[in-house]
Amino acid sequence: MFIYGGDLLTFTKQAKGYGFFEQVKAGGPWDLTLLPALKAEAPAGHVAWSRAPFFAIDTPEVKDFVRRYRAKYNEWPTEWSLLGYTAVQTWAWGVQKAGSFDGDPVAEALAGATVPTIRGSITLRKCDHQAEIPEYIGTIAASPHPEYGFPILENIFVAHPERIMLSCDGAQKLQPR
Amino acid sequence: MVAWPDAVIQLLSGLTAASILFIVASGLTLVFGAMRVINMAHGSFYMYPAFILATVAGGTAGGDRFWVGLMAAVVLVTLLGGLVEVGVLRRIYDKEHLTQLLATFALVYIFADLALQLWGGAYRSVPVPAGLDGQVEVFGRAFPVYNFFLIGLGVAVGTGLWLLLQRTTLGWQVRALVEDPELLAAAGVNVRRVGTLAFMVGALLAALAGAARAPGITIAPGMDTEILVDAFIVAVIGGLGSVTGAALGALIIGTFQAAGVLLAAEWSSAFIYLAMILVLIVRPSGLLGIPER
Repeated sequence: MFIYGGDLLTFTKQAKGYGFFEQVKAGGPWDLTLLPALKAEAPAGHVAWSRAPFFAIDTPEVKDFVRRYRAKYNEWPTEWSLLGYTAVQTWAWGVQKAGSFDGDPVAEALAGATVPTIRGSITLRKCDHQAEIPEYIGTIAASPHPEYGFPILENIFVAHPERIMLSCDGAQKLQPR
Repeated sequence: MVAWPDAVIQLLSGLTAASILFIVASGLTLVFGAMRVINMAHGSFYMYPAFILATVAGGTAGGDRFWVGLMAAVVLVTLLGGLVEVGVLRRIYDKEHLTQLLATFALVYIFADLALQLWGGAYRSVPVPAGLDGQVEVFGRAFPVYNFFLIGLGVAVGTGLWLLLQRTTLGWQVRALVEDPELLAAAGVNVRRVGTLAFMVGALLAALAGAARAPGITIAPGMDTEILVDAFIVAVIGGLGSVTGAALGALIIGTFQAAGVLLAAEWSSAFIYLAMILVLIVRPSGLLGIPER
């Protein structure tokens, strides 16, 4: 399904009322902005994907980030929290390498670089400066996670960037000249 | 060709939407009828109860907390309406329309910011209360029980409002206020008090609609202005000031939208505006509206 955010949340609630999820197998971006809101209303067993689910990224730094985020906001970090944090880490790394706050030298420093972040090293490919980040695809659990209080994704399959990103050539072909 | 059971289901969905639209728009139109003020903050009175309900009953499957939350939300927002009338609107009735519009428009932003401070920007969801969370089979198609509850609520509110306006003292005072405020005051009625009560009934209607609709929608910032546009269209089609008109307008918009989704999905959002334009060309003051005095 290619709707997301609040639209997908409304869709999920209303579709449930009409028995939609008993009749089809659905896939959609039920991510960390939606699962904690839906809790038991989430469509269990259906396929969902997310770009940075904290529970699926197993590094000590991410665990520490989650703990501190939780302590500060009393919420679990969404993928946007984690992506935002790593983006700032990446930017700070670029600023240090370039020795400047100006946009162009920082962009130059980051092109093709592999940057250490809390989720591991991220490479920004040289051709268009896109970060190579995987997508996490799984099925929605039938019951809430005992610690998090909302259903997380199970049987997670990590789709690596080289399998899901447009190649440099492919991306350039689509760009206006 | 559309199969007829689908058409029936779609009609019922349209009636569900119409029911909520009617409850919201009747409040808007009642306040306009009595005080000649367009309350832009009417949408805030629709959003707040949903947030209150999400705080009380979010993430729980139980029925009790839902009903307690619903009642608490409606009472709190009705009182908030009274506060707004006494604190702000009462001071600007004699001012020009633009001042009134801007003052209530300012309230929209103040209430929206306050909601963001209180509840944050995250999506919230309230489950359908236990007992109403199943489905009924209608000609072989599943239809949510809760939607029947909403349709029933719309009918009940309509009947209640009619009784209130036709059979109670407050009702005839409000109707007199619409017709001739000076004469009402000369008859020894406290016009200010009638105004406050009418405004609180308006807030109550918005609150009831917001709380009752909450289980079917995403509760998030922005639902205040979203409903305001729809409610305004309904009230304008029906004729500002006419509660019966609001019911008629809601039925037109609800079924127009439902039919639009079924027949020409890509154009469905244009349908309601088309309906409004058509009505306004034929009858500039709405179907049952009284021309501006």
